Amino acid sequence: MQNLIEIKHLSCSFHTEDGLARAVDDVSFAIRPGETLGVVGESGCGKTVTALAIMRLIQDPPGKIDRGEIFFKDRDLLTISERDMRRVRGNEISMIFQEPMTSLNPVFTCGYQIKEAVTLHQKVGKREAMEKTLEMLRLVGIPDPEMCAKAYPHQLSGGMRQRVMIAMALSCHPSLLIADEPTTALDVTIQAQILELLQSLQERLGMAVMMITHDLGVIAETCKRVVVMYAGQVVETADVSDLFYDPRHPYTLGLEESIPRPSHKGSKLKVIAGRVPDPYNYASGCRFSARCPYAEKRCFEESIEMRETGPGHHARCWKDVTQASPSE
Amino acid sequence: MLRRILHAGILVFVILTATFFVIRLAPGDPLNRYFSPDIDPQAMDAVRNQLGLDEPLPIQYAKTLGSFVRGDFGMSITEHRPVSDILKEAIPRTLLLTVAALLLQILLGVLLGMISAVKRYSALDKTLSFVFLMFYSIPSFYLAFIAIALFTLKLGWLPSANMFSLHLEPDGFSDIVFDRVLHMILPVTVLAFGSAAALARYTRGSLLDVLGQEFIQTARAKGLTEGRILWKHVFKNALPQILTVVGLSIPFLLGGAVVIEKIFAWPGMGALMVDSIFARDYPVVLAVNFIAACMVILGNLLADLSYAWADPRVKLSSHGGPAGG
Amino acid sequence: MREKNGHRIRSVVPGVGSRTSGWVPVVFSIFFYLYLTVVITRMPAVVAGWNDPAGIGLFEALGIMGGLVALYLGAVVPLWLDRRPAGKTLREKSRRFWTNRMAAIGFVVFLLLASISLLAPVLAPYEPSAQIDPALERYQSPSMTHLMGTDRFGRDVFSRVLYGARVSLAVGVLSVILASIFGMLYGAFAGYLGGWIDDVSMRVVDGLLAFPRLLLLLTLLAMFANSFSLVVLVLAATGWMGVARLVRAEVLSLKERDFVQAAIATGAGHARIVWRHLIPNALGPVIVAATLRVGLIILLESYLSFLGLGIQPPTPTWGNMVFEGREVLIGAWWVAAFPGLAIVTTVVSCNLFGDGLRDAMDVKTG
Repeated sequence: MQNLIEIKHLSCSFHTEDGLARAVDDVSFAIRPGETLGVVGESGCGKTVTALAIMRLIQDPPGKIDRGEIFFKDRDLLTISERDMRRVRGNEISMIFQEPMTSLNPVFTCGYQIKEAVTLHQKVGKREAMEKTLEMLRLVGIPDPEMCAKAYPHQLSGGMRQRVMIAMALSCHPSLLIADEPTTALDVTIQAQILELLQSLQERLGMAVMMITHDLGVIAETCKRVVVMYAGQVVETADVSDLFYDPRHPYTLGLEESIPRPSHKGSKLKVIAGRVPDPYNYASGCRFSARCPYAEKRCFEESIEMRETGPGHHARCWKDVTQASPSE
Repeated sequence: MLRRILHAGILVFVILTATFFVIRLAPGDPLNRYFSPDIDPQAMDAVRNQLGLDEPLPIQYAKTLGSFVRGDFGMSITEHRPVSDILKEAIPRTLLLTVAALLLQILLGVLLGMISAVKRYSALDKTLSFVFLMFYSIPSFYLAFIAIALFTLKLGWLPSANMFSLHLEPDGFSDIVFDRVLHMILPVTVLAFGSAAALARYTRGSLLDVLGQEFIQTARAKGLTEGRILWKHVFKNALPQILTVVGLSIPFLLGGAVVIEKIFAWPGMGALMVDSIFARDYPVVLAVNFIAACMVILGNLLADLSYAWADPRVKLSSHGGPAGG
Repeated sequence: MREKNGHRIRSVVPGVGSRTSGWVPVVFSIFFYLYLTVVITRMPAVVAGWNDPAGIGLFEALGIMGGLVALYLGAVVPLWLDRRPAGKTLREKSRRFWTNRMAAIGFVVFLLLASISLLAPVLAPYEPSAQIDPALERYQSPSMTHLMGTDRFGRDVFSRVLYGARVSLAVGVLSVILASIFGMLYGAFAGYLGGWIDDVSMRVVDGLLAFPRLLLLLTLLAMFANSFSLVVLVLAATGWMGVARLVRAEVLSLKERDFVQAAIATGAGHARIVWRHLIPNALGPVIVAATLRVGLIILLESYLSFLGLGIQPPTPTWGNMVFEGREVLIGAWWVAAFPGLAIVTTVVSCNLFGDGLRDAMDVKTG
């Protein structure tokens, strides 16, 4: 099937007081139309930077997209003009953020902020735009759209605000929605509601979703395929069932083992020992090697390319983790 | 709102009281400075009686307070005419100067601060930031001297004293206006520059604060242009803080007017203040302080009102001021 | 720690910027050791001239030694005093301060001025008020004999600028210290006690802040005979409100912290809690505000001197020196230009220093 968006060899870096941070390093993956792709990894692994690079929203300075191509509907988003890019943003690709408390502008009403996106990308009159706004608010399950449209963000609860954000992002029917940890800041019960809403909207509107999260539970619930990132690199891509039942990268394995499970009650929770490497100077060799229980000499010396381990399943590890035993 | 006005009223009262007692409790008899020691003591007493200085302090205080409420500021000791008459001439002149400076300050400060924030961390921003710092650190009298040396003495373009040309033969109203504007350029610019620099520094800071917030990313993700983001989303968020700083700059402008009016021979309240201080003309000193306090408080009240207008999160009825925090 | 610019110089003055790079710390170090050399070479003269009225007196000797101590402490103490919970380590703050080039320049220039003011008797080629021969020597343009020319009375402007630094810096530093201490206590108690006491105290602060400070100063100074100590006192009395506000805000947030609650729970007295727990933790922002305020006070003092209500001539202050040059702006520009430049330099360096401290400590000042 034709890919909706294809990211090839994307690298981004940040110049800071402390030097050059290689936030995203040679990342490639693709999303098909209508598909939900999960991007999972620890904070600081480059998930959000990748998303911002797709939107071309990395602020320069300090950030910079060094290399790569992002093909979206046969156009390389990294080479088109800023003007054309603005037509893509919010129109064909939308994004929702982690913190609904801070991602809405406090001095404008919610209705105004949605309407702004509508009038920007669609040729509609004032009244139509307002109708469209109310329709979107209704669509995201807000009980009293008129009231909500007149309210300022600080007058709404976190869950409601995230719904407003979703309404705003979907108001132009984008073909790709990037959701950057959309539920992290919310209460657990609200989290489930928002995820459910996103799923049902995806089915109704037929868009693709890039679901960025650090929560494997969210991945399991919503995604079809998964990209696992570690220290700015993709370390494993697989279908969601393959990832959970047949992980091929020691990091993925570690992630899954560190999920608390009721069935393992009483036994000690496994954690991945050590810390994420310093993005200012990566050592040569596999970036996970310092924390990897399976690491051997060559893991520390040679860098590793992605390797196909099964149909549609790639991992950045030359060992067969399922066969190997931890080397102490 | 009523609460704010009430607070403002109390404030004026407190300042008036404080000034009164500072002046009256200062060592020395005010009259001694005007009369030689060998003057007839009886004549002295007569003057003292006439000025009401022979009564006990609390009664003097009450009387002063009462007459201030009625708008009567007493008689000037040196000029022998009602203080209110002198003020009637001086206040409009000072207002002309300070309001013009205030407008210029807002225009320059906000605009340059914005440019600096938009071009953040560029060479232009760094240069501008240093220029702001320079003007912020220059005493206005020094700036005035530089301006006078350059524009009046060297180039001869602009007048540097008085409010109008002494031997002007006006050819209609527009000439008078033009002449007045010409005389205003130097004092207004010098007065405005210092506080404009402070305002620009502050504007830059608060715009950068807003630019770093997440909803700006939301606005960008929507596909808005940088211009629209800046004017709509950033500016409206930073506006309340900028207004607060503008409000706080009013006392600085009035204080600055003292020096500027003295240098440029602008016969307003500031010059009046300095002259009457050297002449120990207490009623005038008291009245000028009182008027200045009123102006400042009025300015702050306006700033608070516009703050509430600019920020939907603030309701005037809520307790406390928006400036807290 | 990574290499940044390829080269990295360990600071050669112990304790100053544990690891710094760039040329500013180097300049500082050179300056520091130069100063040390001056002190060492001048010391015999100080000792020899102990009882000689024409020699270097006790005040100057103290000044020379004090300058050295101030230089050394000035670089370390402000960052060290800031011990807010969750603050950065001294090493981190120091690194951030010294890699901020403008801040480091501001700091070095300020210390340079401070030591100049302390060393004025040693450095000045002439007595500040010596009128050599007014008829012959008046309004001489800058030359090798008179670096900054002479004024109306034939006095050496350079010497007067050096001595003027004493007045400006002493007034600035002293009144800021006074104002900060008072404001700190005021704000800490207001915030700590809370309730109506807090309400009323903050109204007073608001009121005083609202008033044009220059008018207040003029009124106060005009009513009493002005002297050095009065100017300092009056500037302090009208300048403590900002600090009080700052400390109160800090205390309000600290009050809810566990360690303060714990101290209250163990029955510590009010004074002890404020003194031992609240003030030390609010010190960082106060230091930043104080540094920035020194510049402001120096400006204000120059205004007062200029208007003739500050410290009176013939004591040279930068403000009254500029005033004396008002009639010869073109003919003898040096009379007003150099003292004015001195004011600007001092205030700019104070502000750069303060901005740098603020960035290094990561505090917000109102």
